[in-house]
Amino acid sequence: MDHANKVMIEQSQQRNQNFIDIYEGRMPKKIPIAINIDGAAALEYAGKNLILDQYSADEMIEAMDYTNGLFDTDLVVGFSSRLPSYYKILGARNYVMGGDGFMQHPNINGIEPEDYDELINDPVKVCWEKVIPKFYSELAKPAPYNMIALLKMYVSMKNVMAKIGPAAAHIAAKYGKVTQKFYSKRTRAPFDLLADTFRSFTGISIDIRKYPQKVLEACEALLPLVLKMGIPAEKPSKTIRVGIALHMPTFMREKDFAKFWWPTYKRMVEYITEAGFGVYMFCEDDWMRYLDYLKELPAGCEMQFEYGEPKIIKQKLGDKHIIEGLFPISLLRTGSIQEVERKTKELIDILAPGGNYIFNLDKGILRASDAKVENLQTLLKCIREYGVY
Amino acid sequence: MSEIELKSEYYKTLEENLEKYCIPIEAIAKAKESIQGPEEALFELLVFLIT
Repeated sequence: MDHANKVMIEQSQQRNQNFIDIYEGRMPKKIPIAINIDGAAALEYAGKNLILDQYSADEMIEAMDYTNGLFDTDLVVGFSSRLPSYYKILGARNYVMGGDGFMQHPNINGIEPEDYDELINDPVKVCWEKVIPKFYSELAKPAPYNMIALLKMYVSMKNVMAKIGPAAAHIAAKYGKVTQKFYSKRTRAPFDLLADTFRSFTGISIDIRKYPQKVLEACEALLPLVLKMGIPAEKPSKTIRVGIALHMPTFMREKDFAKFWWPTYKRMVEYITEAGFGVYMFCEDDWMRYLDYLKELPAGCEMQFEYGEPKIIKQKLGDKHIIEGLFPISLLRTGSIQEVERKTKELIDILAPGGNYIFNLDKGILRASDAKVENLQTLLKCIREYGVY
Repeated sequence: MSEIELKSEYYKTLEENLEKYCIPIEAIAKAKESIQGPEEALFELLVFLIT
């Protein structure tokens, strides 16, 4: 083994260990960095054509390699699982390519209010029989057209992942990035799944007024489904995190949140942690009015915040949970190098003392225009130098 | 924790699948990958498609 390889292996091991230490409740040597860059942004940073190159695993791998070399992130970045080939084959209405090649996610409802009883009785059945044909025109066709379309899409996905998986491992080794799998399955809060997949943002907002009992029963019925979605197949460990992006709460009145959203979510998180896994949740938007609820969750939850007051979040939750996020991505787009450095140190000074902190932005980098190269490089260098315990 | 077990016409446990396909229950350990693997993969595909 040559010297460069040995250095990279040691770097990977140290970066793995920083995450392990955080998840197991110890102080790491350095602040782990969970910054993520989407596949679209990676293609753009690499100078690829977003409209054309998302159809090629080889082009995406080149872009991943380039982007991971460009930015010294802890995690391997630069891949998106929402590829246009899958959605084109299926005639998707829920994911469509925009004029610039970026995949858009229109707000459509999978079921109507009169379908609530069927949903409550068997959510998976409703997914296959009502939601899937509504989301995908090719799957609404009779057999064998729908069978052929689904199989083609599945093979496309398998073919892509057969290349991406080994490439990601190679990139991790090449650049000394995290090699351990910390982020496992993703799931949703029951109410969010009800809103996002079945009734849409506008539909659920009406339903909690017109059919409150049905909404409550539907959240209960969806609890086994979201748990099945989220519980990993691996041996339980607090280092394995189940990802949950939290969508609806900041659009709700607190009394509606407390009645409809929170109870099944809390039970879901309790179940995942009792099963021996950790939870990573992305608290979208501003959660300041819900911090006391988050404090009720089992200790050790990883919470990424988008907006909010870092000092108050640290003060209220920092002893119990792992805090993450809050660095404004807008500063990477429009700020100067000096402003990026100043903000990085300011956040580390507030959030890092005592541990329980992972550095992250307020949201992922979706497009290259979200972050100037020199600003993101400055940010990462600053965390590495300043974020030492 | 039985309250949180997923029950559906479109999702079967290994035991249910053995019965459905008339496979002897003694094959339960051996059929885990070949029979239940596709069931779990299909569930994962469904999750990808609805989220």
